[in-house]
Amino acid sequence: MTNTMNTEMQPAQTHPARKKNNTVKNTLRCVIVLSVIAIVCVSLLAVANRFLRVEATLDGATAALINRIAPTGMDDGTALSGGYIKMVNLRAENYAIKDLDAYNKQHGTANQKVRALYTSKNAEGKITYVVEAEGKGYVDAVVMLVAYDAENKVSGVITKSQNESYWNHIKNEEKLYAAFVGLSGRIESSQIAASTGVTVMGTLGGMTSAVSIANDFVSRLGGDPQKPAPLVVTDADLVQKLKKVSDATVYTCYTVQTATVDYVFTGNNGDLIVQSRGDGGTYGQVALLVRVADGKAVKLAYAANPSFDPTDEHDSTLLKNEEKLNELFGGKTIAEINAMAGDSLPGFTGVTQSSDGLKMAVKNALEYAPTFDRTQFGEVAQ
Amino acid sequence: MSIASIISIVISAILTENIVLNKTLGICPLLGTSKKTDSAVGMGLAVTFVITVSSVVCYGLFQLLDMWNITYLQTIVFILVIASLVQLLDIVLKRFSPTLYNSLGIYLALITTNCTVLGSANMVIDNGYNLLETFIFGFFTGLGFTMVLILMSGIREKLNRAHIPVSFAGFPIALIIAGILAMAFAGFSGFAF
Amino acid sequence: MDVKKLKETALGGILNNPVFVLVLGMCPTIGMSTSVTNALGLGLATAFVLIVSNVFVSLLRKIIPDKVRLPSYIIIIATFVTLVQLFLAKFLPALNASIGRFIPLIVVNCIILGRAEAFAGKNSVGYAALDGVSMGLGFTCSLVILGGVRMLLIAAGMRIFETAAGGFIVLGLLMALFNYLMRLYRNSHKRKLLQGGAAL
Repeated sequence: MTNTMNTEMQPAQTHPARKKNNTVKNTLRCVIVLSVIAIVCVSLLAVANRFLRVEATLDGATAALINRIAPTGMDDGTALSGGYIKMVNLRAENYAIKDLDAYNKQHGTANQKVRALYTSKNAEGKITYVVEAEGKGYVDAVVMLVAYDAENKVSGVITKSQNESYWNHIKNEEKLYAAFVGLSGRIESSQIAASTGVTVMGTLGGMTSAVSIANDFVSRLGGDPQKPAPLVVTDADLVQKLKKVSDATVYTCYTVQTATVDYVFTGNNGDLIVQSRGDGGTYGQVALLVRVADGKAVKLAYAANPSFDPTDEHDSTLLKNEEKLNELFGGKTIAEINAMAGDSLPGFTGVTQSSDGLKMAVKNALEYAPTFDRTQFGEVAQ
Repeated sequence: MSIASIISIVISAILTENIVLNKTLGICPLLGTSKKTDSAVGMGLAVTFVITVSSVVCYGLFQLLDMWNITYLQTIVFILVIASLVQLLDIVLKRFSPTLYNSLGIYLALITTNCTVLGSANMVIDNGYNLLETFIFGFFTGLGFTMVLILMSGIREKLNRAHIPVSFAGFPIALIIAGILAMAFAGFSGFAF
Repeated sequence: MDVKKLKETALGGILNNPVFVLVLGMCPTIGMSTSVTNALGLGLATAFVLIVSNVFVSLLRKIIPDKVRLPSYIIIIATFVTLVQLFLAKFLPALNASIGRFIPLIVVNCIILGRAEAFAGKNSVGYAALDGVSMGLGFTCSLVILGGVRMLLIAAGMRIFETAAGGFIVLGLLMALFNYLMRLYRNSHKRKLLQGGAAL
């Protein structure tokens, strides 16, 4: 800019020395004014950027779509406001992938990248991962939401947005979605085209490259896929149940998902509650909430268990008899439970198998409790 | 970096995602400088040159902005780069190639406010191209722009001899022609790469 | 207060309509008029930048040396455009998703630099602000009209009007209509003058 000024001189009639002086002064003035404007503007923007910076958030429309492919079992509003559908902050949590940008730089291409990771939790506490990824379609990026089952296979997909022009629109996207279910790894558009008969390859290419990178992302997410960061328990029913065994007011849920233990809850008063299962119930397994302290089962309650049938006589007896449950197991260590005569149980449940299940569940909880390690969940050891 | 991806960038920059007829950028110069083929060629070449250079320079600067985490300055930096570049080009051409300056000079001044230039610099960032792809994208986007300008000017020169209703004379008929051209170009979208 | 100038400035948005008469800012006009919402969003964003940059250019017109006028204007305009960008991304993410691509291009919208250069750089703050409001609203109205027409046509099943081609054609037709109406207006005005002359 200043070059132009130098080339254009002041009016010719001025004295040469004064002219030079004038030019220098003018140039200086130009430079100063321009610099001041630039500095003021840049600082204004820096301040604005500080206050207006967008933290990636989850909006209602996306939550509604997630609720469709990874159902929480409740309406969209409750799912979002109750924290059942959440965006995962990778930096703050315990995954192999800490930084989405770094991941995209390493594994993504100009045409495909991952935009976000969400979790959707249903009333039973089962967590489903949903990845938002984009792939270059014919005109613009096609943004897909992809839900995964426990084995990292696609359990549902939906298009979040696409800007394809009229000619490239796929008219009936719905029929495509089913074709992705059960797949993993890299997906070729020809593969989907063959199974659905869709021929709009541009857009389809965008969809498949988005799902492919999402598959890759989930496979590298690391750790146990069912071991996300701790969640504060917001489900009223669950809090009610936890309060039966503990006096805390706020609970945090750690999704453990071992063969015998599903969750560990910690109360804000330091209580540790293990939700464990025991084989041998009449209907598969029984699940218990056991507050553990000093290697003893302090207090117990029945956990929600989908395999319970509330209309079944035996099961409903089980569900009702929590006092007896505490009477039997309360304050006992593993050794004491092992020593318990099998006969003392059927007396209250009336069913031998369920009794074994109960015993196993309590033992599992007691065994797991000392091994529980918060640092595995990205928390600082206390 | 494969040949296929380069070809795909070239084809999309010129035909399928033409900056004027598909991305609707650079319409002011399209209407303003497509009355005669000569001026269309001049404007097209000047724009091609500026787009190519500014895309590459902006790409480099964006890497710095990204590194320092001040990407919010993208717009301000890009437009200043483009304005300075146009100014610089003006000076250099005036000094070293008066002939070229005489044919391109008047269009140079118009280029700063030509949204194809800033638009393609932004597209390079959005599409995440590397340096080579950026260069190719910039150059062929400019060529695509030039091509549309020449096509338009050819049609408009013929139109001079046609009888056009008074209300349609000038810009309206030019816009409708551009619309018909855009429809023709939309036909290219049938190809998939 | 110069009433005539005030009136002229206030009516500038219609009589010198940026889209239909000055034929400026065509790119966003065609690119973003696929729906009334997009048109309104982009129109108002442009109007905001136009008003604010007009005011600042006018305030600084005596401080900024003539030689660095354009770069200074560009910096001021780019700053406000970036502010709009940040604001939209934060508070209106849905709108941002559909018009975000065109927001940075407000910087190179000829209307803004054109008004800064042709009007705000030469007039006092009040006039500059009024000019910004008038021109900004004129631009927004044209965009919304275009968006409305296209939306109706799209709703009627003619999906071609979603594309750039449809945008060009609708704008061409509307511009022809505007020319026709202006001609009618001017003719009747002339006739009135002639009749007035005959009565004298």
